[in-house]
Amino acid sequence: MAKVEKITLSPEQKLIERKRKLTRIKKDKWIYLLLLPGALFFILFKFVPMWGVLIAFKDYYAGINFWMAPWVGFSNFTDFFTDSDFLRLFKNTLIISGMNLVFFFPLPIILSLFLNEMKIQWYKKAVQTLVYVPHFVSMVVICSITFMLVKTPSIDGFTGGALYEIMKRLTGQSINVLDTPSNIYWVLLIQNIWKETGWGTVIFLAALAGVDMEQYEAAIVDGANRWQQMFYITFPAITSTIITMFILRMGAVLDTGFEQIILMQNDLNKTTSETFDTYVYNVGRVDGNYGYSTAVGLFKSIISIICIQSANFLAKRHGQAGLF
Amino acid sequence: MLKKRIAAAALGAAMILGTLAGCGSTTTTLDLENPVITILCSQEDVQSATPDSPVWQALEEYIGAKLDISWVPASSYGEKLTATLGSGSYPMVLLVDTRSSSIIQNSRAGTFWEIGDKISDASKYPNLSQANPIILNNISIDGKVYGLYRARTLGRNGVSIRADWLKNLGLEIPTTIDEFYNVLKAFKENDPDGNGQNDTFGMIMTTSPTSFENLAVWFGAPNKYGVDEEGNMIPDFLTDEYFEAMQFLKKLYDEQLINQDMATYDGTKWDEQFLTGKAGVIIDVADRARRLATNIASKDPNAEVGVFGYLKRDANSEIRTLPTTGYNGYFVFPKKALPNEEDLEFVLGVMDKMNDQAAMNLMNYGIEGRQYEIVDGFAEVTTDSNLTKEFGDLNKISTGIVELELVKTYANETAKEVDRVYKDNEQYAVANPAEAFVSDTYSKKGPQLDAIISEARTRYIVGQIGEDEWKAELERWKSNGGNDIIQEISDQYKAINK
Repeated sequence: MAKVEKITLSPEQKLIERKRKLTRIKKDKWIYLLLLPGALFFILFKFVPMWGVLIAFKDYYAGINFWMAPWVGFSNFTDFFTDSDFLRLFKNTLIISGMNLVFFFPLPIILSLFLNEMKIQWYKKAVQTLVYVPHFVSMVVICSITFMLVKTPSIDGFTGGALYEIMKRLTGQSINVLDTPSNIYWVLLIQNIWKETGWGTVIFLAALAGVDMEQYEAAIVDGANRWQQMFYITFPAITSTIITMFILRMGAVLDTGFEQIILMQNDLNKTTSETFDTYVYNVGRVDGNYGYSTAVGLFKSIISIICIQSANFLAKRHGQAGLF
Repeated sequence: MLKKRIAAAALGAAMILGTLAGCGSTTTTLDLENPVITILCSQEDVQSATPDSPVWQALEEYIGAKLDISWVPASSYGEKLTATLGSGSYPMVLLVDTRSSSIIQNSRAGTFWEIGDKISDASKYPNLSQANPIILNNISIDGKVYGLYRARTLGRNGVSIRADWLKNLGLEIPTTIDEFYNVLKAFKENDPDGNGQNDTFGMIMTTSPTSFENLAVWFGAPNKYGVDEEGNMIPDFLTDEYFEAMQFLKKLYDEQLINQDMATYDGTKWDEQFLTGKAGVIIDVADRARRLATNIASKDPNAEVGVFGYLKRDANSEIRTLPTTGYNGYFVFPKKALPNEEDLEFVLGVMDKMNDQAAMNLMNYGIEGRQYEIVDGFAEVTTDSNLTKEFGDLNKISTGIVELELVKTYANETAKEVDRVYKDNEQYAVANPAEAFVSDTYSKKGPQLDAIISEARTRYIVGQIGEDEWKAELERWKSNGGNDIIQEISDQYKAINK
């Protein structure tokens, strides 16, 4: 990227610049007023509560004045890092979100590329609407459906869930989806894919709508077939959107979806299903250990900032626009 | 133009106010002239009573105060309680379900009134002064009593069993572990329902730990804590007897005498397989048998439900039963909501009145002539859900410190048997010597540490881990804070038993 020459302005020019800005603000004052509630929301509910992270450095419990709680320095953090659960949580969180990144992230892109190729408009619209539907199904419902489908019979000889029976007839083995620790990763992934793939296409389809039709016409004249058009015109056109989505995704790399996991968790798969999010809930909300769970949450945020920054840096380095 | 501007300004103002309104929090205090008592309590019935119900109004009239009850589903009560403490907006009467670290710290910091000395005054509180000192000790923190417990019968645990299946197979109610094993085996293999099909099994286990805890005590493990030769406290799961109970369950699991999906089988569906005639035994509270007997009658008129309280390890060993703690949560009285002593005394007076027989009849059975009739000295309560919902959950705010005299009509033989089991169990109850002790480490990390054990136990029973890994998990428990808990509790025990 070319460096922009810095232009030095004379005092008079600066004055004119300032005046121009003021007139612009004045002209658009109603639009600025519309911005106000949104800005207030972020200040009140996102920035003001941030001082609450100080709890991570205190021995705080619900019901006392915040300032009464004694400062304990980094002891909540050292407790957490030395806890025997720490490695397990870290590993599980990384595996679950890593699998999402590798297997789930490309799917909406592929799906929207295919949707884009559909030429019959009413059919395309119908498919689009249908694939959005699962997004509006509550996670609780999806988890209950999963339970019903894969539940194992109480005793050999009884009937299990439909999917369990099908898998048993096909493979000859009884597969215990819910209780086998390593299976939980796949269950979570498949649920995510089923629920969110369709919805994820929204943003990519919007990007695809902006591709210049003349490029296709030119390609057809040059003799490019459908696949070639997809790879050389459509795909490059949405690359920057993909990169942006990827960077945003990296910021949420330690967010594993709390509700889904807590619903699918049981004693037999907890070794693989306990993640930072469920841990913070159990320790903080249920046990009332605010300081400790805030420390865990803060640690998670710091990792997220590092992830999002490095993804952004790498994107910029490879000639992409990046996010900031 | 002006109109437009005003509209835009109003819209903006409304949005700002809307965001600000979410921040307020208030604690209502008591007005002795026109008293309204705010209560936070857990909800267990399908439909809780509402202020417009005649029973609710009759109760308010009897106790001389209005009630403002916030019902919270029992499953999320712990979370709601922590959030309430954090918000600083307290009800006047607050149910404490478990003694979490924030409850203990708040008690010590003086958030709640200490009421131990007050309720012993029999002239002011004729009912509350009859509170059981052992249970008061169980709910005390550093020897101080901060609440009124919700009394529960001590010998409540018991086993429900299909008595007609036993008859079909020519078996008796088991008395020892070996006999119990044989019954389960016969229930699976010898076609107890006589339909010629191999479609039954022995016992239903769920994610609830109650079944196992009872078995462990029958095997000889202590009730939560035991004392070793040096006078140190040891938790039950470090004893050999506990492990033997696990091995026994593993055997049942491997032979398919219990359901294979026990790790995911939800406690709310416990009755399902029993009622549909698939399994014949449930170890839980004895009153489950009463409910099973009522509900199974419509499904299978030949079914009979038996109930018994305990098994002996073998014919010659002593009888041991696992008692409950004698209470199910207790009510505390936050000072912020009741700033003056008169306020507290008024509320305590109301709680005392709720222990009058007339009030308890209202809370448990509704209004005489509307929801129940007295027949031969027993209450015959309607089963019409439109009427029973009028007193739904009201007994959850009753402490029941004084025993309820009016008893429901026994719907069947089983119901009568259950009351016998209660009394019988009480004589053999194994006490938990550490019940009243507060371990700071446990109150901080208890649930996580408990999870290590329950997780490892389930994994051992289903064969996911072996004995070595079980031992390794015990070490993990010790190093994660277990050793501190043992130390803290032993110190308190030694201080008392010098």
